[in-house]
Amino acid sequence: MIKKQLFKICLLISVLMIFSSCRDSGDDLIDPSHYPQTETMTGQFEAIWHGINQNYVFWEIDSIDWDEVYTKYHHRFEYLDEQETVKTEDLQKLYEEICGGLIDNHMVIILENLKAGPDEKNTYVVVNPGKLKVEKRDDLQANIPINNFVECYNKLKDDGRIEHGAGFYDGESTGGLESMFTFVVDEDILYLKPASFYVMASLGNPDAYRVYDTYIRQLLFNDNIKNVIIDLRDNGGGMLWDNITILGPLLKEPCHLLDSKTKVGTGRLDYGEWTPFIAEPTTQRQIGKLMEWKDELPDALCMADQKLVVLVNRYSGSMAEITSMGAKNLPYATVIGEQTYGATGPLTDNTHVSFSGEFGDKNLKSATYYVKTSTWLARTVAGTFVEGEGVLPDIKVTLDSEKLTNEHIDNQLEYAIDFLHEK
Amino acid sequence: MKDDSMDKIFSKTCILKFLMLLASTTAFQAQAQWKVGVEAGYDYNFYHIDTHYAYDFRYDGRSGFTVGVPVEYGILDWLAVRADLTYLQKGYKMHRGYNKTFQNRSDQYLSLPMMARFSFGDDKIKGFLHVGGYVGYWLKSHLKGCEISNSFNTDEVLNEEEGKIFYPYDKEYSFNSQRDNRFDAGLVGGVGVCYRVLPQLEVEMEGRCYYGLTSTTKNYMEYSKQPRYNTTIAILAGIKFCF
Repeated sequence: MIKKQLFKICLLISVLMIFSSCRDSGDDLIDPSHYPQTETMTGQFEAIWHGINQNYVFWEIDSIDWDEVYTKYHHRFEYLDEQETVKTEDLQKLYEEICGGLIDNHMVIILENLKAGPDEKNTYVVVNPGKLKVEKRDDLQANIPINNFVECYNKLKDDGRIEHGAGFYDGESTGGLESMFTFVVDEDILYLKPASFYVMASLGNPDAYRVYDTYIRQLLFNDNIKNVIIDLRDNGGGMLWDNITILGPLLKEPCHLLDSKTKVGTGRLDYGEWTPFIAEPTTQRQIGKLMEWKDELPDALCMADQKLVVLVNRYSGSMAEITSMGAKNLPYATVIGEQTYGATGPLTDNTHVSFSGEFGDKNLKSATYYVKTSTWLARTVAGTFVEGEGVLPDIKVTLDSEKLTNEHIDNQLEYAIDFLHEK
Repeated sequence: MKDDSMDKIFSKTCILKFLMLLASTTAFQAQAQWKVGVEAGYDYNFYHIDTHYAYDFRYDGRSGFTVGVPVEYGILDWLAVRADLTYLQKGYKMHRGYNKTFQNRSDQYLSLPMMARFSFGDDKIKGFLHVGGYVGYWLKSHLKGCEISNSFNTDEVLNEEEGKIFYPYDKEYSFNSQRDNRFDAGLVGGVGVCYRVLPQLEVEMEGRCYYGLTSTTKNYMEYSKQPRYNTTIAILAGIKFCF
């Protein structure tokens, strides 16, 4: 009897052991930053597909069926591998078809055509989904050439409307800042136009230092300043830290810019939790420290009771948009201009932060591809996703390109001046 | 004025009398067929996840408690079938080596193990073995953790420090219907000892293991499957009334 029971127990344990092997072990994943080098177009496609699969942070809101993309296009690359040569133009179209619809407007996919013919001059494919989307907008306008802006600036100067002006645009680009202008217009409006959010990184450059020093001194010490215009048109963004130089001095209290979240795992939907991106006011003491002024300033706000206008356009991207998102939440600020670019997800080149974001090799040496993509998924404080869409201004004012080119009048800037003067 | 302690003694006596009456009515039956009871205990969940190249994400198990209502039907002297309607706590504790990020998730499950019970020993003390399967449902979860944000401390940045701000959270978990698999099923087994206190009353201790065969995540990635499984061990103490 006991032997029979023991036999049954052993039988059951054996059955259990068989069942215990029913757990699926899953697929092996390779770090997209260390994907093995490949010489085939199929291998290159697989590396890019897997990299986006694992490092892209917009899967929660992107409706593309990424598995279907693999199923649909894998055999097409196998076919291309069988060909002697592949035209770069055709490869460009193929990758635009594959990646052009992804909603990350920060994204850039660069790859080398591994089967370019000997006569091909261009052997590189560059796909920029954001640019493709912006170019399809109905009211698309070209960005404002800096020379046109300088002509407008000179006209204001000739008209005697400008004082305390400083700027640079033809110097060496140091720290990523190509140009920056400041002036006081019509006596009480302080204006700043940084070309990017690399102001803090560029303060080692004497030109950049001089312009920002002029601006911030006017803000702090000129009692006539009643209004501020921050011109972020054609500003493609840059460092988050430039909150310290751009938005921070214009804040009276902490400003909730947006909420963001990134991944906490390698799965497409392995998201962490939303965290707020809050810009702190930059105090006079902090400005003094940043500018290395000799006299220590009090720990007081830089902004008194001035009003603020932020100018934006189609080419205001990333931090320029994030700043305008914050400004929209300030009771004393108004965003004027056009719908922005739609690249709101913050990013870093440190993929270790969340094993998300960019992968490949920018120089196309250790890998034949490079993909730049956001590290964080972002939404507005109200919970709306504007990635791929852009931020809508409080007041829409379209640029009059003819007036700008022919009469050197910047109608968006003039509108902002009139708005602040309540005309 | 009524004496509360007397009331309690009276009610306890009543319960004891009731139990003895129950026992005496069926004491002469060769075998008690139906048994119903309650059980409770401590559990510890092992969360099986492959973090692949995200090597500094470290997952540890977490402890919780479990309560259940067992219903048992004796077929033979040594064989019974048993079902427990069980509340189980599972989950994990995750932390990173790279920064201060951590996440503790406490998962609450309602499970129904269906088991065969093999008993051995004398009438008073019996050892037993449970083997079977279970189905369950992931009711809800609670999250507590801390994550890196894009906010930074201005003074720290000006001092050339990183200045990153981490935000804590303590909230109910929001299920993602595309990702989270709330259906739970697997194997269950246990060993224990049962002691017959009265002819109609048994107490038992059991060590049990729930071995999940369904991933906590759905198979939503065709070419990069990443299943995650729970294995839960529980130490249970229970009491059963025999009918």
